[in-house]
This record gives sequence, C-alpha cells and structure tokens, in this order.
Amino acid sequence: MSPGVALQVGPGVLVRVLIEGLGTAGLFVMIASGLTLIFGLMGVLNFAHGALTTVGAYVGGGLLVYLASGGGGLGSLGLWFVALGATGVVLAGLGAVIEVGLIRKLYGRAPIEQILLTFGVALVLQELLLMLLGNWQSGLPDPTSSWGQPIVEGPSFMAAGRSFDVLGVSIRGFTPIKILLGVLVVVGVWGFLTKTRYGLYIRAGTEDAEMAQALGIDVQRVFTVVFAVGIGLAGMAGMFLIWERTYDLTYLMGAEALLPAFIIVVVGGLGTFKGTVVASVVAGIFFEAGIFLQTNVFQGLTQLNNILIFLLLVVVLIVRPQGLYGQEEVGGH
Amino acid sequence: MSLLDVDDVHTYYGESHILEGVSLAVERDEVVALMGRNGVGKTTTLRTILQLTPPRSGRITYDGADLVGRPTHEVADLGIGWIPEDRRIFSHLTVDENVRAAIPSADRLAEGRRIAFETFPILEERADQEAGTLSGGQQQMLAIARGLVGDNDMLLVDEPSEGLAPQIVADVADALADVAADVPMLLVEQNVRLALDLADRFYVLDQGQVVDQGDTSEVSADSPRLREVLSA
Amino acid sequence: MAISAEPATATGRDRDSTVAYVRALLADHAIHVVVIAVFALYPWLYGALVGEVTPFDDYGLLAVLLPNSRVMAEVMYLALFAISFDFISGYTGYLSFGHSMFFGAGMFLVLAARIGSLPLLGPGTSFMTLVLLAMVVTFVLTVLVGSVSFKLTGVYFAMITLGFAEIAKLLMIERFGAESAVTPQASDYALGVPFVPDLQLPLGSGSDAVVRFLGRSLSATVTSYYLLGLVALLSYFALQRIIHSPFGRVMVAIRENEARAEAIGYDTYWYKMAAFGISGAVAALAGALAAGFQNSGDPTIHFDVIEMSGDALLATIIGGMGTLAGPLYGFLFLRGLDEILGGTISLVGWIENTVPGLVETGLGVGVTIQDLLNNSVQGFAGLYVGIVFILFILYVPGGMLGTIRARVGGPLANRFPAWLRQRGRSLSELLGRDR
Repeated sequence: MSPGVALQVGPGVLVRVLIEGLGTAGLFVMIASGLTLIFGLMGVLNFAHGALTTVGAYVGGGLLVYLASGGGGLGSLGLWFVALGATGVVLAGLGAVIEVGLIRKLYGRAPIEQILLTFGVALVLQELLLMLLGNWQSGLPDPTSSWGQPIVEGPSFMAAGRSFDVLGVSIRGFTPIKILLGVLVVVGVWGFLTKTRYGLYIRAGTEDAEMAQALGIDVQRVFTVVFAVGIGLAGMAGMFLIWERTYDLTYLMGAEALLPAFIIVVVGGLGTFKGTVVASVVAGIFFEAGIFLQTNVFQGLTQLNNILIFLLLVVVLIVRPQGLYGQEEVGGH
Repeated sequence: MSLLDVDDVHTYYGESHILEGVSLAVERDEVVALMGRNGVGKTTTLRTILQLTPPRSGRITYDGADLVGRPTHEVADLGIGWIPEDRRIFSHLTVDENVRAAIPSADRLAEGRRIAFETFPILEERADQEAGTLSGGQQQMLAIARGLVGDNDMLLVDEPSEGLAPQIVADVADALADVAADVPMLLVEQNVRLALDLADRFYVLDQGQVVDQGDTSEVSADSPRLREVLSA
Repeated sequence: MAISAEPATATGRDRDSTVAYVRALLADHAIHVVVIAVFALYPWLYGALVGEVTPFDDYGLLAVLLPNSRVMAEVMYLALFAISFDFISGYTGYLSFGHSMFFGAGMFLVLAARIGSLPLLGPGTSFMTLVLLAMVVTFVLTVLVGSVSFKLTGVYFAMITLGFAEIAKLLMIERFGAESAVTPQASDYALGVPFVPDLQLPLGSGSDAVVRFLGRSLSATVTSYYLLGLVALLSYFALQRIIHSPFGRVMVAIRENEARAEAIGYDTYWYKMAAFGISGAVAALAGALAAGFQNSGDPTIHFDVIEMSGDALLATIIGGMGTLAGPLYGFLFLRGLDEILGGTISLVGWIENTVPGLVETGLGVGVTIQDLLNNSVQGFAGLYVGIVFILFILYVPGGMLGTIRARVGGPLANRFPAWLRQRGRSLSELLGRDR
C-alpha cells in the first residue's frame, strides 16, 4: 500500500473533517432525498436519478452561463440561486413527463421491472445528452471533457481552491453553501411532508397506498407529483455538483453520483426521509474522513473515500438490512 | 333502484375463481350483513365493489353510476367508504392526520374534525399521538371515524369486531349502531350475533356464491338455517 | 431439451438401429443442430458474402450488417457472461449486480499471472491452468459473497451484490490504477484440453494464418471464434442440463414462490448458494477467455457494475430472460448494432458512399444530412439499444426468445422436433423409407 503513514491528528483536523463532512452531507441529502421519496411511495428504485442529476447540472450550468455575471459577490450568488430554482422547476417538469409517459405504464408489474425501466431511461438520457451537446458547433459544452465554464460565471468564493478560515481551521469555500442548502432541503422537504395536504397524502400513500385510494386520494397523481419533486431535487443537486471537486462535469457524472445516492438511501432506510438525512450525515463524515486519510495518512490510496462508503453499505445491509430507520420487512422478492 | 346493486360478479385472483357470480343489493336506509365462513369471498366482494380487485365480469352500480373499471379513488369520491379488515390506519401518522387524510376537501376540514371528535371523544384526547400507539378498539373507532368524515353515503365495513375483547366489541357495536342510523352499510362480520343485531337483511356466501338471503328477523344466531353454512 | 420417449424408428438390425438412434437424436436436437450449423458456417459465409474489406473500399450493405469474426468471437465470451447472469437471475429471480466482479476476477487472475503480479503463478503458467484456477477461485469467492448476500432478497440482495462489486472494483483500481489497461507483453494463450498441449490452439485476435483445417488456413481470430464458440456451447449444454434437472426445478420454484419451496422442505439457501457459485464460476470463465482473446483488461471497465452487469442486463432482457440462450441473441444484437453504428465499416459510411448527393443536402441552418447522421446515428448505438430496451420492457417482456417460445408453445428445442417429425414422417413416406 503506502509508505507515508504520518499521523497528525489534532482537534483542528477533526473539526475540519466534521464540517466538510456536513457539507458533503448536504450534497448527499440533495441527491438522495428525491430517491427516497420516490422509493418510499412508489417502490421504484430510480436508476435514472444519476442521469437526471447530470441533466440538471447542464441545465443549471447553462442558465448560469447565460445569466453570466462573471465571478463576484452577492449579485452573482443571487443569480446562482435563481438558476438553481429554475433548474429545479425544469427538471420537475421532465420528471412528470417521464412518470406519466413511461413509469405509469408499469403499474401493477413487479417493482423490479420499474427499476429496469429506469435503468433504460438512464442509458437513453445519457446518450441524448451526449448527442445534444456533442459535435454541434453551437458553443455548447463538450460533454466528454469537464465543463468548467459555469464555475467561472458563478460566485467566485465557491470555486475550488478558495477557502475560509474558521476558528483556525481551513474550510473550502463552497462548504458553507453546501451546508446551508442541505439544511434548506431538509427543512423544505420536511415542511412539505408534514405541513401540507399533499405531504399528508404522500405519507399516507407511502404507508398504505390502497387505503389512501379508498379514502379518495388520487394516488396516481400523487405518484406523478412525488416523482416530479424527486427529480427536481436531483436536478438541483446536479447544479451543486459543478462545484464539487470530486465530480467532473461530463456527461458521465450522473453515473458517479448515483451509487452514493443508493448507499445513502439504503443505509438510512429505503423510503424514510429521516433515515436519509441521518445517513447523509454519517456517509458525509465517512467520505471526508476517507479523503483526509488518503491525503494525509495513507498516501497512495486514491479510492479510500469511496471504499469506505461502500463498506458502510455492505455492513449496514448485513447488520441491519432495513437501514437505520426502516421498518419494513426485508424483501420485495 | 337500489343504492348499491351488484349483479352476477365474477372475480379472480390470478387464476383462482373467487367470486362465482355474486349478486346482492343494498337499499338507501338499511344495514345488510354479509356472512359466511372464512375464505368464501366476503372481503373480496367488498374489494370488488371498491374496484381494488376489479371483477372480470358482472355489473356494479352505485346510485345509478357504473363502478366497474373506475379507479378506486373515484369510487370513494362517489360516496362509498371502506372500513377494512385490520383497520389499516396509518400508524405513523397522528390520529388527527388520519382523520384529515379522509376529509375530501380543505374547506370541510373543520367540520370533519368536529364530527370525528364529537362522535369519538377519545380520538380528540389522543389527537396528536401516533395512531399506531392506539389500542385495538381505539383504532377501530378511528377507522370508523374516517368513514364518517369522508362524505360517504354508504359504508363497507369488514370484520369490525375482529381481534377485540368482548367489552370493546360492545362499544364498537354501539358506535356502529349510531352510524347506521344515518348511513347505509354493507357489513361483513363473522360474529353472527353482532351481525344480526345491527343488520336489517343478510346474505350468506359460500364458495363464492350467494346461497341464502333474507330478513334478519327470520333468524337468530343459533338458527339451524345458518348453522351449516356458517360453522367453520 | 427433452429426449422424447420414442425415437423416430427403432426396428431392425444394429446398423439400422444406430442410424435410427442418430436420426432420433438429430431430430430432438434439431434446433440446436441448426443453430450450431449456422454459427459454425458463419466465418465461411462472411468470407463468401463480404470477404476482406477495409473502410476505404466501396463496401456493400452486407459488409455493414454482418459482424466480422473478431466481433463474433467477442460475442461468444460476452454471451457466456450474460448466460451466467441469466442462470442465476432469470431462473431463481435473484437479480445479481455482482457479476461484473466475477467476470473481472476471472479476467484479472489471468492477466495478473501473465504480468507476474501473482505469487506462485508465474507468467509462464499455462493458460488452461489459469482458466481452471480462475473458475475454482471465483467459485469460492462467489460462495463467500453469496453466504452473506442470500440473507437478503429482492432489491436488498441486488444492492448488496452491487456493494461488493463496487468495492472489488475500487480495490482493483487501487492496485492497478484507474483507466489504465493491464496489457501483458507475452500473448500466448492456448485454449483446449487442459494439460494436453497438443490438443490446444492459440487464442487471440490476428489475421495471420494459424491453423489449417479442411485444406483452408484459418486466421487467429477465426480460430479463436471457433474455440470460444465451442467453450460457450459446452457451457451452455452443461447449464441446460442443470436447469432441466431436479436442481433446476428447485431454482424455478424459488423464483415462483420461495416460501412454498421452503415449506415443501427444500433448504433454499443452499440451492441458491450452489446456483450462485456455478454462475460465478461461469462468469469467471468468460472473463478468463476475454483476457486470453484481448490480452488486455481495465478494472475501470471490466469490474464496473454499470458497464458489465448493465450490458449483460441489456442483452438478457432483449434476448429473453430465463431462457438461457436468449442472452446470446441479445449480445449479438448489442455488439452487432455497436459495429453497425459505430465501427469503421458503418451504416453511415455506407450511406455516404452510396448516396453522396443525398447526404450533402442541406437541411437549412447550415446543417446537412451528413451532419445529422454523424451526430445522432454514428456512435450512438447505446441510444438505440436503450430505446429498444425500454420498448421491450414495456411491450415485449419475454425478450426475443421468450416471445418466440410463447408463440410456438414451448422451448424451441422441444417444439421443433415434433414439427420436424410430422414433416419427416410424410417425407419418409414419400421416399418409401419406412419399412
């Protein structure tokens, strides 16, 4: 493995891992909450989530470039939020179209078939993205190489390499935004689920879709709404990822984002939002701990952060397969 | 015209022929009991009416409207309420949320909750508790309350006494009797005494078909007429 | 494939009964004979219909549509991989995302030995030894993974196998580097009867003549195609035997209703483990063969769940899940379309050569049909496969083979002999052969 095992673990380091971990948790929550809502209500493990995240990244990035204000403070940050919101809306629309056009056709069939369908959608989306962006000489980004332009147009303090000093610990510039947005997502989704009628219908339907129907709730329409919201969240997460140094914005980015999202959702408990939030925090800290270890302790390892979160998945599935907060019996065979 | 008219309905689970030509009717102001041994198709009959398990053939009309082929939420909107076997309350939602989920529109919210809590004060007491923490009898009250507030003109009630202690069964029976005063019911019940107490008429189901029917005044719990088709 | 209770004819002296027996055997296995014959004659057919073509020639449509021998050779071991996937996922119903790990294990055991990375097994170890070892080692690995994974079912089973597979990939990337291929210097892979070098032939691609057969010299690629095809065929028959045995029936029972199978008294855990182990070993075989043919491997691709298991999934669904032979046709379609839409001798190239005028037509906006074709057809086989995949899931759940089987009322191997016998009977009568 590696010769460089230098142990320099002081309190500053731990604080750093913790804060960065929370930042990564914010990212994970954004990617995974849509996935968990969709699975909880519809029983569909959406393989297309990653591809849709990528679409969101290009839509958001494109919007940002269009609204370009070129690095800067608050004004540019405001535009960033505008682009983020717009991306959410556009992707939600796309999600609704996919649900009505494709997923709906498989109601009543085994859940595994819906999963396979989303896998097909992911493949088609990825190829379409490649097609739409590649080769057409129109100034659109080259989908096979990392698209850095939105970073230039966005708020400069979020770009890689910038950092703050908090309590003597160096934090990457984008991290506070990640934490902020993670919190906003959690609060937003939580509020939606608990304080609105639709949220009530979603929670009722997640528990017992038949009974909900017998109460007069149009569960099919709720499915569409949930799917749309879930995809909207995924799209916004995509825009996040542009600034995230571990992901290259290429047409393949979605596939990289998909697997951690699956891990979060399974570890937290498929279908429970609370579980997803807690699992995001745990996985986020694991991930950052892995990065710290591989850059400072076990130099020479490059995949430790990823290995750690997959180990988390396997261990949880062995020890407590329903996840931290899941209640259902393990199954679905 | 009957309120609910079920005509020669055949229902399958996969290839299993469960209902082999069931016909029955419920009028606007009566309680009808559906009796029979375990597994003869009583619950399936209710599910078929609701289109949860659509029939392969036959006709079902409610207040003149054709039910077959409609999505279940439309059937519910037409005014048919379901109080199913095992209650099936949303255990992770609070009592209040369970009630609210059944109220069809936002402007009826206050009125619905008032009806539910006046009929069952115990529910108001526990309004913010998770419904899963309620006792069996209280859950049954909640299930009935949901049927009440759902703007329903008819209720399909499935085994309300199942799994409850005799004292609780008496309470539930009282509650149902109150409800029955205003709302017609199709009641599936294994407890023959309870069924005959509440109902005006009865049907007996055996192996997916109606084998007997009549007024409940004609029979009692130990009538020889019923013994054969009801003993386990 | 069922051997029917009564052979076609069975009267007469020894010679007659032998002939009758062979006739019966051929009739029962007629469909297999036909398919095998088509595949066996394919290189000759390709040579006759297409011959040697380069992208600079004025090639015909057949050259575009028919896959060349190298592609066919690849299809052989890829199909074997997908068949191993169908064996466990199609017949027991447990969707395994871990098969990329088993394929990769087989592949990299061979490659690592060849580059001298393995203890005990030096670069000189014979290929057949490595293949057999790969199967055994992977069988053990599969059983280990299965022992933990089969405590779960459905989506959770798929997730945990995915987790293991990803960890395996990451460890391999750690060891060999990301996006860097392992390519041994020595490229000596002799495939054949183990431990009998005289009965082995070289595996690998190349157009130099390597073997003489029936007076013709066969290139390395074509020889490999036959060798790989033979291995795939034998494996297919072996797996078929298992499927049609009592063991196989338990596998199907597990898929249909595992609780009931348990209730009847089968310890489904061990059946699942055994089936999984077998499928893993076959996947490793496919991987080892791939290593031999390509002489190269990349953990980022060959251990990747989406790449490998994803492709197997596409091939199996399109070909027909739970049919065992379906994945072969699925991969033919997949790789074939890849070449037609992406190879150097491509459909778009043919269109450009054949109707250059049409192709240069402008569609306004400064775009020609040629631009359109190059930006939405050439290289986009994945898109069209994906669309076919989605359509198949929605409307053709049995896949190609499954639908054909449904149409004729049973596995072709069963139905064809009956059909044949009817025809054969009338033909024999015509020829006056019946006595």
